[in-house]
Amino acid sequence: MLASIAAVVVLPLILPSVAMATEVVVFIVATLGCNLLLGYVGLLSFGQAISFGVGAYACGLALIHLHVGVWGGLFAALICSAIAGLVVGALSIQKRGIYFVMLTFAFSQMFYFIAYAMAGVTGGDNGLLNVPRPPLTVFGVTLLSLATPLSMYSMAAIVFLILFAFLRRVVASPFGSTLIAIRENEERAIAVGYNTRIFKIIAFVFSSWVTGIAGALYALFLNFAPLSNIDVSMSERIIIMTIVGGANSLFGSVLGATFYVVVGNLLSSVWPRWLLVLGIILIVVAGYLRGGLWSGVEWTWQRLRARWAVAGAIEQREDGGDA
Amino acid sequence: MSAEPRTALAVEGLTKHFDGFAAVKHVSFTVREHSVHSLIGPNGAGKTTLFNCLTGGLKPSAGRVIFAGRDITHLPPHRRARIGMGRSFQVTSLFQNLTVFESLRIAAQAQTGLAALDFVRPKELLGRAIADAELVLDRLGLGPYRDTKAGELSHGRQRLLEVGLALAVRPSLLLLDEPTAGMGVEDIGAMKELIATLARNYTIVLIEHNMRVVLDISDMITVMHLGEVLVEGRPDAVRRDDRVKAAYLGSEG
Amino acid sequence: MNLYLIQVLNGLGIGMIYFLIAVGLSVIFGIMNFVNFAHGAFYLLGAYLCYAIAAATDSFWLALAVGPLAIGALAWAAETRFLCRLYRVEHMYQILVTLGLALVIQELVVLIWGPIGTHVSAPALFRGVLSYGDFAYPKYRLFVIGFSAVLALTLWLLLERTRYGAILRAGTESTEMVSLLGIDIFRLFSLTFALGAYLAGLAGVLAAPIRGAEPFMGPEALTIAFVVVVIGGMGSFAGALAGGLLVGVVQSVMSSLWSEGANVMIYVAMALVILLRPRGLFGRT
Repeated sequence: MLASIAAVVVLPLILPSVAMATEVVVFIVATLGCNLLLGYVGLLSFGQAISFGVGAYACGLALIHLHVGVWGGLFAALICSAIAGLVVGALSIQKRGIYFVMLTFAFSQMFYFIAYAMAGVTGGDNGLLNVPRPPLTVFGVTLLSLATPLSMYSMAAIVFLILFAFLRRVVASPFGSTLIAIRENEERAIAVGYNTRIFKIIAFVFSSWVTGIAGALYALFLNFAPLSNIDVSMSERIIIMTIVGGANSLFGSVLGATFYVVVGNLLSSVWPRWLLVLGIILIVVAGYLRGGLWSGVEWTWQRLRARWAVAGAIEQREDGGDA
Repeated sequence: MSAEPRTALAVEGLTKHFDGFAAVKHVSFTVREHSVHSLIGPNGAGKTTLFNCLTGGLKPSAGRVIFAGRDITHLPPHRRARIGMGRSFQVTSLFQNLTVFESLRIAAQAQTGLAALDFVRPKELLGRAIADAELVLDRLGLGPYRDTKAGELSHGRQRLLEVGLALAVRPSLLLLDEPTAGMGVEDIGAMKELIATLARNYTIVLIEHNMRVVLDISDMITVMHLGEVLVEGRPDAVRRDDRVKAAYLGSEG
Repeated sequence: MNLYLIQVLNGLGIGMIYFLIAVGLSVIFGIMNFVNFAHGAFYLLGAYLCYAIAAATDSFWLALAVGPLAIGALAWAAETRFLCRLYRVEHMYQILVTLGLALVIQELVVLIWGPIGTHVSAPALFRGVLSYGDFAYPKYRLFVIGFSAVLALTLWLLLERTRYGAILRAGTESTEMVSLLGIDIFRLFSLTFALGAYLAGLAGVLAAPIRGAEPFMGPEALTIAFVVVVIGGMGSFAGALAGGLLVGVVQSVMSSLWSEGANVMIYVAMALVILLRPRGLFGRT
C-alpha cells in the first residue's frame, strides 16, 4: 500500500508530463478491475471495454445532460457499468473456458456496434464531445477546481488510492479467498458447498464498476469519450497491461499500466511502430515470464536476498573461524 | 437398550442411462447412520456413476436418493455439501497453491452462508471457519504441514487432505471415492484407522478397490456388477459369496 | 429484385472467403485445442503478398499460387520454433502470445508497405462485369465463388478421402488416440497449423481485389472467423462452410437495409449460439 502511495506521489515528478501521469492512473484503475477477474478468479474476459466505454459515456452524459458534479458523474459510471457487468456477466458465466472468453468477446463487439449505431446519444464515430470538468464540490462547497492538470491528476490519484485500498480488503476477505479457491479448483469449490456461479457473477460486477470508474476518469481527463473506449482493442490493451504487470498481485496492475502507458507514449513518439516492440514483449512475457513484471521483480528480490544470506553466512563463518 | 439405528442415506431404484447404455440399473440400498458402507465391484460395474448420482455430479434417469429423510435426487452439488454431505475425489482434487490450513478453512467457510460473501472484513475474523479448520487439521494429524501448499504434499498426505476437505464442511455423511488410491502400505493403514474412527461420529459411504480395507472396516458391503446390485451383506458373507468371486474373476477373463 | 440478388451473390462470395478463414481456425482449435489470435494476421499477409507479388510480376495467379504457400511456411516456422511450447498452457497465454505475433506481423506490414491501404486489381481474365440482360455482376466475384467452391470440395476430399484427412478427423476426437497409434503428433500439429495459415492467406489473396489491402484488416478477419466458428461449430468443416455462408449472406443483405444492425445481429447470434447450443450448428460436444 505504501508503495502505491509513493508511486502516485512520484509519478508526476518523474514523467514528462502530468497529463501522462493522469493517463497512467486511469489505466491503473482499469487494470485493477481486469486483474480482479483475471488474476484472482482466473477468468479471461474481453468485456473490459464494455465497462470502460459505458463508464465513460455514463459519466459524460450525466455531466452534460444532468449537470451533476464530478461525484455524480463517477456514481453514474459506477451504476451503469455495474449493470452492464451484471447483464454480461450473468450471461457469460453460463459457460466456462474458451466459450466464456468467446462470449465476452461477442458482447464486447455488440456493445461497440450499439454505441456506434446510437450516434445520437454517444456521438457515434465522433465520440461524446465537450464533457465538462466541473470543480469538485461537497454539499455545494468547492473543494478543488479541476481545471489544472495537476488538480485533475490529484483527484484521479486519490480515487485510485481509495479503490486500491478497497480492493486489497476485498482480496483479503472471505469473498476474496473464495474467488482464489475458485481459480485454483472450481470443481472442488463446488464440492465443498460454494455456489461458484454467484461468486463469479459478483466478481464480474466488481470488475466492471471499477473499470467503469476508470472510464469516467478518462472522460473527465480528456473532456471527451471516444468510440475507441468501447472497442475490443481497448479490452486487449487492458488485458495486456494486466498480464505484463503480473496478474497475481494488485500492485502488478500498477506496474503493468505504468509500463504500457509510459513506454507506449514514449516509444510511439520516437517510433510509430512501437507496437512491434510490444508484440515482442507480449510473446516473451506470456511465453516465458508468466508472472509478468511483478514476478520478475519478486524473482530478482528473492535472488538478492539469497545472495545476501549466503554472503552473511560466509561472513559469520569467517568470523567464527578466526576465533 | 439402544434406539433403532436410523437410516442416513437411502437409494431407491436408481437408474442412469447414457445414450441407451444403462450404467446403473435399479440400484437400491440403505445406509445406516454411523456405519461404514462400502460399494465395491469390478471395473465397469457402475460404482462411479452411482457415486456421481449421490454427489450431484450426474442426474439420475430414474429413482431417488433420500438423505436424512429428504429427497435430494435433483439437488445441485454445492447444496449437498451445505446439508451435510462431504465428499472426496478419487483423482486428487485439491487447491494446489493454497496451504493445507487455508484449504480446510475455505471448505469450512463455505458453510457460513452469507458470511462467505463478506468482502470487507479480513478472512481471519471469520472465527467459525478457522475453528473448524483447526479441528480437522488436528484430527488428520496434519498440523506440521499447515503452511505447506497442498500441491507440495506427499501423495499419502494429499489423500488425507482430500478426506479433510470433506470433513471440514461439518457433514453427517462422508462420501469417499477410493480414499486409498495410489497409497503406499503405511499410509493405507493410517487411512483405514482414520475412517474407522470417523465412523463413530459420521456415516461413511466408501468406494474402494482395496479388498483388505473394505473387509476390515466395513459394516455393510454392496457389491455391484454390470450396473446392478449383485450381493449385499456383511463382510464375512460377501467374502464367501461365490457370485462375488465369479464377478471379479469373470471380469478379469 | 436485382439488388437483392446482387447482395446475395456478394454474400456468397464474402461468405466463401469467411469459410476459408474460419475452417483453418476451426481445425486448429479442434485438433490442437489452441486459440490462435494470429489467424487474422495470416489473412492480412495474404492480401499484402497478393498486392506485392501482383505489382512486381503483374500476375495475380502467381500471387495466388505462391503467396499462401509462403504464409504456410512462415506459420510452420513459427509453430515449430515457439508456438509448440504453448499447447499445454492455459488458453490465456496462447491468446497473448498469438496476439503478440499478430501485432508484430501487422507492424511489419506497415513498416514495409506503409500505413495507408492500397487497391489491388483483379486479374485481367476476370476484370469487368458479366451481363445477363438487365443484370450485371463483377466477373471477379463470380470467380471467387466458383474457385472457393472448388477449393471447399478439394478440402472436403482431403478430409474424407485421404490418410491425412482421416488422421485429422481422428485428431479432433482425440489426440491421445492418434499419438498412441504411432503418429507423430507434433508433425501433425505443425502441418495443421501451416494448413490453417495457408487457407487464411489464400482467403486474403482472394479478398484483396474485392476489399483491397489495408494494414488493420487483421482483427476484423479474426473476429468474423470467431463468429463463424462458434456458429458453425468448433472443429467442423461443414460448420465452417455453413457458418461462413450464413454470416456472409446475412451481413451482405442487412448492410443495404441497416448496416450497424447487421453487425449487432451477428454478434447477438454468436452469443445466442454459445448460450443455447454451444457446439454450434455442426459441432460435436
